[in-house]
Amino acid sequence: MQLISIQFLIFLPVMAFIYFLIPEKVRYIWLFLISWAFYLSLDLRGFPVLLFTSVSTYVGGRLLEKLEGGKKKAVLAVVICANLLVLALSKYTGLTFLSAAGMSFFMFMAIGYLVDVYRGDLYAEKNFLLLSLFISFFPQVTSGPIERAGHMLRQFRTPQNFSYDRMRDGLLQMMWGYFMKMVIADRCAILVSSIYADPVKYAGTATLIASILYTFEIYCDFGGYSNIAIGCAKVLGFDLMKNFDAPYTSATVQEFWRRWHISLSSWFKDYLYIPLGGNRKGTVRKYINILIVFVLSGLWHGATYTFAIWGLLHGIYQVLGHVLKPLRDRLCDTFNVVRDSFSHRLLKTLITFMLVNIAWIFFRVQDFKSALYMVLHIWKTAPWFISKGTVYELGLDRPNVLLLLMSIGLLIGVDIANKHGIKVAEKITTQGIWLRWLIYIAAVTLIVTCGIWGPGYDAAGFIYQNF
Amino acid sequence: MKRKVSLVIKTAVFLVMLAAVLLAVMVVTERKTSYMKNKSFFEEAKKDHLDVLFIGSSHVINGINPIDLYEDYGITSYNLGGHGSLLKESYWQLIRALDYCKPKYVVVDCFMMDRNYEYVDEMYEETPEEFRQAAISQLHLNMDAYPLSKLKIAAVKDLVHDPKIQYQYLFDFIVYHNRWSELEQKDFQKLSGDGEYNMLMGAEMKHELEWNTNDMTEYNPEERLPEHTVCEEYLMKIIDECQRDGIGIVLTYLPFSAEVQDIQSANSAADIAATYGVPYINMLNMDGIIDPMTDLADPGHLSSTGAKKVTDYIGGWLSENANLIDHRGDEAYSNWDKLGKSYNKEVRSLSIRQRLLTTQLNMLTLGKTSAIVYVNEDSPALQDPWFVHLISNLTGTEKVYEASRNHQQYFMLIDRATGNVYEAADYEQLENMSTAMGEMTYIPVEKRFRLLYLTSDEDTNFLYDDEHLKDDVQIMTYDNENGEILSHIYCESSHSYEIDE
Repeated sequence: MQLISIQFLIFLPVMAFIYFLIPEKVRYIWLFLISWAFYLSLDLRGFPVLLFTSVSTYVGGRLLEKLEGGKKKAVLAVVICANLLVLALSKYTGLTFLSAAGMSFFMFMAIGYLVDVYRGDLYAEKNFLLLSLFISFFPQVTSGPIERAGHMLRQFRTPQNFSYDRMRDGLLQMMWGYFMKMVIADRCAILVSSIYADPVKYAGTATLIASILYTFEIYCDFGGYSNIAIGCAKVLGFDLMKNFDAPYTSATVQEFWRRWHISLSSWFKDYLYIPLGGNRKGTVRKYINILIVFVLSGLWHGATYTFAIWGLLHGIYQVLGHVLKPLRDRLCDTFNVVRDSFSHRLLKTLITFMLVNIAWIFFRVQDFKSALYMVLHIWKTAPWFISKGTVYELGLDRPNVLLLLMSIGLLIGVDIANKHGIKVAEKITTQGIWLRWLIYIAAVTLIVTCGIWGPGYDAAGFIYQNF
Repeated sequence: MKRKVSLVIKTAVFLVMLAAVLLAVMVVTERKTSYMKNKSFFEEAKKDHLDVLFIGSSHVINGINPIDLYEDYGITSYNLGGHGSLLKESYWQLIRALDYCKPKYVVVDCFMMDRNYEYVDEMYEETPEEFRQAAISQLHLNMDAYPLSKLKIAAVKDLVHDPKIQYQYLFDFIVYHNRWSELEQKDFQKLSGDGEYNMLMGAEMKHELEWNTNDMTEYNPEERLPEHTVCEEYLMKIIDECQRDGIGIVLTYLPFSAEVQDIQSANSAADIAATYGVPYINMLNMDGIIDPMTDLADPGHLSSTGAKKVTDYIGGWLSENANLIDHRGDEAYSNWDKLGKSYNKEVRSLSIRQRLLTTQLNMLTLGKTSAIVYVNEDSPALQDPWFVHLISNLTGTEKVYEASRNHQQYFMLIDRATGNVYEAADYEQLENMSTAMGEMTYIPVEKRFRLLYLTSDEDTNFLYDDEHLKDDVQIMTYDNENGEILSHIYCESSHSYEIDE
């Protein structure tokens, strides 16, 4: 069962209804059973891997609490290595029997838990079902957010009662997620796939458009999933951490990483960057640490070297950002640039967007040669791609392109509002009933009618589900 | 507590409103072809007005015109043929239709009885993907208009193997929501119930002729299908069903440019008919029913003139053998008279100007307008056997062949009101032609100049126009009753047979 499926839309209200009828103390058992059933329906063959992670993490956590010194360290190393070995064998050697949907996500959550117990930041969970629920909680098991045990176990132990407002907010967030995924991401994917399949065939402007649309596709695909997962958990009374926060409004690459896949970047920060020494061991070491973290972050996505290049590029962007800061400051002073001016912030945002955009090319392509071709060609203008209507011959006709542009415009508007502290969802829920309902009904109608779904489209697959 | 009750009520009202909007969206986005085809079926079936049902493939859709059948024989029928429908689909079409009405007769066409596969979404292993996709799409014509029911589910499961594809027939919004970008006025009109619909009781007439390049395969009555096929099985089921319900049944094989497997099917159908003791009209081996050069729109489908002849034959057969009531003049069936008038008006309008010269000439045989045809002596059209045949078919004489053989100019006037046909080849003159326009005279003067005028007005020459010196073929149509000129068509046949707008 996928989050984008009619089955899920029937499953969620039914399971939620039963969930709120069950006494608070045992609700986690229902959630645990549902989560495992959900996973089994999604990836029956991958279930042993989930089971392995759950059992090893549980046993490891209990041992870590009891042991001290070298043995404790050894247990931590063994359990983490065992899980990472399964992950690595699955990803890098193609042993498909070891692969499982969302394994990169739930294993990182498990590792985070073990490290927290090792550090003494968290007591080992004695209830196997609770710990397993944390690892396999159905909204997040396939693509995160990569939650922290301390945050989730507490909520599972003391579940919230049904709240109408919470349900409404959760459903609104899910709806926004479906909009991002079905109306924007899957629509972008049609045009992007056509051009990325053989970029050499297309003029410069076409490759530029494809790269920009992929930049929005990956955001709306993963951000859409995150919103659905977070909204779904909210309906049940759980708060999951924010995973995206208007990333393309960032004015620097560093800021981008504070807003993009927040749960993964904060995981790497907490469990890799800081243990490596962070910025405490001198500038050179700091740069090396940044590069290590980003290359590993790239490799986390898959075995292809283009993922590593993508990560490395982001690492280099950040290192260069630090190295060139004095020069940039001097240039600003020389030209009397007002740093807070709209134009300067806009320029920085656009430059950051293009840097991120170029990196995404390496993330999307099949081989380095194609990536290089794209990076070199996106600058070559060929406006006739638009004026002669070629753009409408790549799977999206004129109304679809128009709808896509309008939807991206709406997305940008909402993200800018969010960045400035204006919560659009809150604004809607405080309107009068007629306007509120009009917006809700129009939104559902738009998603159901103009969303890409049904025969011919693999709309149910999320890009990040493969990682 | 009060707040809780209020929230429950508000939520319920909201959900009802949302459901209503979504339902409206589903109605608007739905592809209308099935609705348009079947709207009159549901209405007439409800009134118990349908005495005969025709089932089969597109051969039936294009070959049987229930409106002609009513106008000429008073028989009320519905054409339930489906594009690409195999007998298995026809079986389910019949079963679903019998849920709505009980006809006195069912006419089943046996085309494609050689097909031996179970599912339309699989076909044969080697079937190209586009054929499969076409079949999946065509099945919607038969399915969409019928509401979801156990019967529909059973039909879909029997016809389609892949469960994912089955869903698109049970909940067609799965495929049709994508139509949002191509919606037309008629899509929205369905909301108010006054959208366009098929006005020929399910039939679709093909008026345009495509040159039939296929030679007709010689009919060998000994040929049989090499194996027992799925479609044969379902033909038997159709016969069983009708016989069990006391419904008369007749099998047909409507004419077209048949190939060997069609002749095999036609003969095997005869065997099945004989086994069950049901009548069988095999038009593939009946000479003189249709003229392949004028009555086939393409090698596989009858043109409107072919449909007229075939419908007439079936009408005659049913009148003689089926003991059906002639409903003409019955006030309860006045809708059929209206549709008849509407169809005749449409055919008249189509007879006035067509896209192609050949189609234009063929449409004139339906007699809805009177016509004058003039062809220059050096016209390439006169050397085209098809063109000459079409003129000969229109006049019913061989005169045009004489002009063709001798490279002479040719003139023809066919007046429907009087029934007069006038023809002239070379420099023959025609005087005092009695027509609805008045008394007329035709005088060929020289190669590029000829006179056609009303005897009462010698100054107006209908057949000369300085602007059309290059055009070697002229056709005029005029009203059968008052002689009003309806169109004057010019064509340069050496260039193409396409008629300028």
